[in-house]
Amino acid sequence: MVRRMRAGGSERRQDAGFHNRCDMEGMVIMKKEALLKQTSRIVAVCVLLFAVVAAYYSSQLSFGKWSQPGPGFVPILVSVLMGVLSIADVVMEFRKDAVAPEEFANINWIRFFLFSALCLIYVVLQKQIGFLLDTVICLFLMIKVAGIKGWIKPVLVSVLFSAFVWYVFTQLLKVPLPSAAWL
Amino acid sequence: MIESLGLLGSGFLLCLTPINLLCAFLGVFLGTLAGVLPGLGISGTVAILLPITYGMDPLTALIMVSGIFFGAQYGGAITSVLVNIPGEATSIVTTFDGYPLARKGMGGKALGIAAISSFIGGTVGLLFLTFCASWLARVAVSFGKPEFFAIVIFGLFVLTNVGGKKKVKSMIMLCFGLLLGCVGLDDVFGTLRFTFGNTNLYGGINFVVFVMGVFGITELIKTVSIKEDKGDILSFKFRDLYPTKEDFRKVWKTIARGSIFGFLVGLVPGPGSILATFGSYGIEKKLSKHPELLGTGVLEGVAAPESANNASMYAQMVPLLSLGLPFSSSVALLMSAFILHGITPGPMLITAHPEIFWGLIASMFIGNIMLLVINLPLVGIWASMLKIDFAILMPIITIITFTGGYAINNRVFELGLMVVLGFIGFFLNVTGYDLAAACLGVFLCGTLEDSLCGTMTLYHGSLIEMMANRPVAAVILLLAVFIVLFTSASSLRAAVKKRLKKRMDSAQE
Repeated sequence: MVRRMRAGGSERRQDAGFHNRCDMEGMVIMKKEALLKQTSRIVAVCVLLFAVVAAYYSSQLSFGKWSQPGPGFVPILVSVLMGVLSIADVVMEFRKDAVAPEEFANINWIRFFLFSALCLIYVVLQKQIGFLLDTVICLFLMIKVAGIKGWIKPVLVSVLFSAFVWYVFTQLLKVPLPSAAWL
Repeated sequence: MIESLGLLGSGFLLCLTPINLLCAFLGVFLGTLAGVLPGLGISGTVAILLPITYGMDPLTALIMVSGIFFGAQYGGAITSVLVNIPGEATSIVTTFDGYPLARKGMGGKALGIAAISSFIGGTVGLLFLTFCASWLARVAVSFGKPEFFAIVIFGLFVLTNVGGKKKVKSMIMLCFGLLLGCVGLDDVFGTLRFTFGNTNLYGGINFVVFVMGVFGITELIKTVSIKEDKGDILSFKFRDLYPTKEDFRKVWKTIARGSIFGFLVGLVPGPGSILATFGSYGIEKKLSKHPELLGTGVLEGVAAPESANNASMYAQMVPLLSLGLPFSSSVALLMSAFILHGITPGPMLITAHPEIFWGLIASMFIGNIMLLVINLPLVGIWASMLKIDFAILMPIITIITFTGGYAINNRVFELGLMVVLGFIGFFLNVTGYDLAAACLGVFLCGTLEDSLCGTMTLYHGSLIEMMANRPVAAVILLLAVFIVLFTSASSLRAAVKKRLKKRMDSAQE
């Protein structure tokens, strides 16, 4: 009896834990959706900020006169125009209902951030470990991130293709590719 | 006229060497290969493949670049017919009838008609281009800074006001591009702008790097992270690739109409090619004896957009070759390829270097013929490309893009710039900002600044004085203002109508 009661208690606790987890996950999904819906607005505000910063730095350059323009003439005019248009854009974005951009529905965000990060890492490591090693490693990781399962195919493709690109660019097209000083 | 034909003949003599023919074939082959892949677009394809031409002789390089350009165009038609995915925006209309034809088991016929329509459209466009560009270039020799300023303003205004729904976003992106184009040591005043002490930025943002970032990297990130259904790849019979006399009899009028209409509409800066494909399909629907059949899989529905598309591509080269001003991102990239090989398109090209101008025209003819004669039998290879797993293909293209980007100036900094631009481009692209307008902004910034500052100095800061003294510039500027006012008024009217309708509906409820 006591055992049954204990079992019942643990089940209830498990149930409560499950519901809490579901609530938490639900909230996270809702927050994510809300953020995605706001994306167009966030991007519009970022574009406006870019225009403001550009206008500030343009104002440091000399405008000259209308009859004798200076180096700041075009940047000032263009950044002011961009600022005015961006304000209109922000107002329009906030006036309509927040809707997530259509393509966002199918984005695999983990893949997006991992692939973007790998692109950046690939560039940063070019001079540190040289083109060939960098390409083999990053190409292998990119193929894995893009969703290929197993090891043999990604390893073979990354090694053979890196060697091929290196040969075409350095030997055939005579383009010197980055190499690490220690290699 | 006879003189022009003679010069064109000498251009052919220059081009018809074994190495040039081989490069034309390679260009068309690689261009189609990349054009078949989703997302990259013509600009991305040309940007990625441009480094291959670096070590080549200028004319050979131009032949290859033209081949890549037109091959990429045809690649879009293949995916439209076989998978219902338009590789380029200009191939959207081809899916309307191309895919239903393939579903009926007539995919081979659709591809054959697409190639032949492209060839005829291209040839008609090229003939118009030859005479228009040489005539306009002769007129443009007398143009000064005010006229160039007016043409740039006209082109940019039309670009941002015609075609797209999001005019404000397009204008913003144009300004964004113009500001990025200001980065570096400025040519007019010799002042450093927006470099923040970074020596890597002294030379400005390289246009090819910019295109590789916002078209290449953006699209690669998008393709890897957005899972799209590839769809079924429909099979086709090779013996159907060459249409019968009966087929040709059905479509020749359509092709003729599409070619002429395509060229005329293609002269509109910016989205001219896209407008041409939709417009020619619309005309076909109006003139057809059985308009209800269009959209269910008829050959006319493939012939109309494909002929218009290719003719319009040549029309877009008219301002490039005669004025040195590109008004679409892919043509701007073509111009940067020319500059890279020491050739500056513009009014002086035809008068000072006629051999290069006519060599270039001849190379386009060769590329066009190559597309038909060699490319068509290889359709099977392109179709099999679609079967390769994109999860392997996309990382490989990413590496080629970066290596090509490095080959431009041998600078790792520019690769970092490509990643940053690709990341920013991704968010701008999915939220509806027009990246092509940004590209043109970067490219035309120098010309705009030079012509604007020159005009202001010349006419004491008064545009009215300039317009009073320069009638050609005045007419072009007034036309630009008229187009902006007209499009703004029509969208305002549509918005007011929509609001009134909404109010009426709510009042009725």
